[in-house]
Amino acid sequence: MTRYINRLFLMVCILSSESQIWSQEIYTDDPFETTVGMSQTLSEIILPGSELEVTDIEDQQPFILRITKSFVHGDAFRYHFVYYGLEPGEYNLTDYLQRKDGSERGDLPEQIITVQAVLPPGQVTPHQLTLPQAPSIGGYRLLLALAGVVWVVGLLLLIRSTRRPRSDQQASTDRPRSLADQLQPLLEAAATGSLAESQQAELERLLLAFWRKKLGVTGQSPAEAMTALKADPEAGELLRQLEDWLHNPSPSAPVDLKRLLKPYTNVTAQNVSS
Amino acid sequence: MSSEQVEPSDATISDSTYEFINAIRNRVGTVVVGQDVVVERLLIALFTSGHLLLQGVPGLAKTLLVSALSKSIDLEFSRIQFTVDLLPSDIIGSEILDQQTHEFRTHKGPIFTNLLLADEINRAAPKVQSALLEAMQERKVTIGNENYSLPAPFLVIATQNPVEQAGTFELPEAQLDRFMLCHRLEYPTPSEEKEVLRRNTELGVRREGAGAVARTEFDVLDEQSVADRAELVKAMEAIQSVHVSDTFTDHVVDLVNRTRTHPAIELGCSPRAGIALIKSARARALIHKRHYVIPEDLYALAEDVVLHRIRLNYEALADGLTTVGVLRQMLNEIGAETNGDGEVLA
Repeated sequence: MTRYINRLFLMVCILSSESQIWSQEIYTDDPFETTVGMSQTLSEIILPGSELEVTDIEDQQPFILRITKSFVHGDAFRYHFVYYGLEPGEYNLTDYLQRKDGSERGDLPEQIITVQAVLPPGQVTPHQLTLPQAPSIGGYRLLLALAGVVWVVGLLLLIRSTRRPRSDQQASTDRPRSLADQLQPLLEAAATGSLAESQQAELERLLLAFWRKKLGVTGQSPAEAMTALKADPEAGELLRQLEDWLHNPSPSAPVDLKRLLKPYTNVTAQNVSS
Repeated sequence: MSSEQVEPSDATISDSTYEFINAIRNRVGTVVVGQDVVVERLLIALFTSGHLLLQGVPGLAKTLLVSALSKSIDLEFSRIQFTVDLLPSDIIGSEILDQQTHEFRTHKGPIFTNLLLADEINRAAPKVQSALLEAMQERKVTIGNENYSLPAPFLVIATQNPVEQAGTFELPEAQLDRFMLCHRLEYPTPSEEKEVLRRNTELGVRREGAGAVARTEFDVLDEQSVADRAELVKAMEAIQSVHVSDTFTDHVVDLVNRTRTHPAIELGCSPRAGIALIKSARARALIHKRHYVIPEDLYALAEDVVLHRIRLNYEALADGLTTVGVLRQMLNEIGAETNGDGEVLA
């Protein structure tokens, strides 16, 4: 008994839903007529030739057709259609069909569908939908990159503008003096014993450090490096002479200072410090 | 006992002093191959009355060197093998009750000598080390109630084995500071070692009565000295006339100060290190036939004078630094940044 009631309830539900569908699709009794926007079913339409299918929907197409079912009907096919129109007018249904096998459609009988307007004449229609121009992809990143470039360029210009007077000043000064030029007065003073006490040790350390670096003996033990410096034909002569001037209480006779300074003529003080 | 102060200007360097130095070096060279630097350090210690600590593995002729030196100048020589059960009285001496006279008699220990070889000093207990180091510093010892001056010259040459540290008592920095020099002996070069082996094969045997024993390098030592103490004293006086310039003193002060401010060093050099640098540099200058010191002396002696007086901090040790590396870095840095302030090169 319960099963019977359930089946009955299910049938009622199905009939109810079907009736709703039909009430939506069928606006008029004539299956070849409908109103704008309302779908209509057209059943049992026999069309000759091989099986047909709906052509591709084009943009702004005012008539939309769909084949819901198709059956073999002798040499022809029997179709069930659903269609709707978006603009009022008359449409030939077969204009929207083509052969499924790609063959020529041939002379199909006209099936005129009338789409009627429900709205009164003169009804104002909405403006054509116009889309605003979409923003370019990655626009924000591009903006950031441009801002970065502008910032860096600005900074470089700023730095350049601040340095310009300094470089102008450098350009206006004379060429930097060589180490020989700078050492000469110091060595002359050392030779005569008039070099300031505080400068004596400093001068000797400077020359030792200079030659240690130049001859690449910094990796050796200091004692070995010292021996190597004094044995070097370029470094040794001035170092030995300086030892004589600074440490020997009775230094030897004057020497040719220009000859001693020859290895230092092409070296600037900046080269020494770098 | 009379003492006379020698002023620097009182003494001059004569050729006989140089001959004396050469004679010693040649005599030592007859039994010891190579090790010229060690011989030089021994002479520096002897001429300046400083004490010398030799670090080296066994078999590098440390004892032979000291024996050869003592016999070259006719100096008294004693050797003490330091052990863990050694007592201070074993070194200094003690008062002994004479059974016949019933009076205490002073028995002077082996420290009463000119050249004392303290072999493996780090094996003795700290109280023995202290007794010796006090004697080194004050050059006199007290036995009972009596003070006894040690002979002049008095020089302690101690040895330490850098390996086998188990059962040893490491000398603290304060006591290491008493040694003017600490020299690290190195293995001989291949050619020197070949010469050592060649000489050893020619030693032969020494007959003793009916038997014989194989001769050693000690048997080759000529008992006849090549110089007397008077010439040693003359050399010691000559060192006082070696000129030390203000420039050199500045270099020494700079180096010593660097050890006190270096970020890797926990304990820097004491003023005694600076004094030792000057003294040893003067002696080295004399040995190299100069009457004035030069930076080469500083660079040559820096490791022997400074290394045993500095101690690295924990961070430096954790970074794998060594005292030798840090000192060499400091010596290389001297002058490297001098021109940075532009004081000299205006």
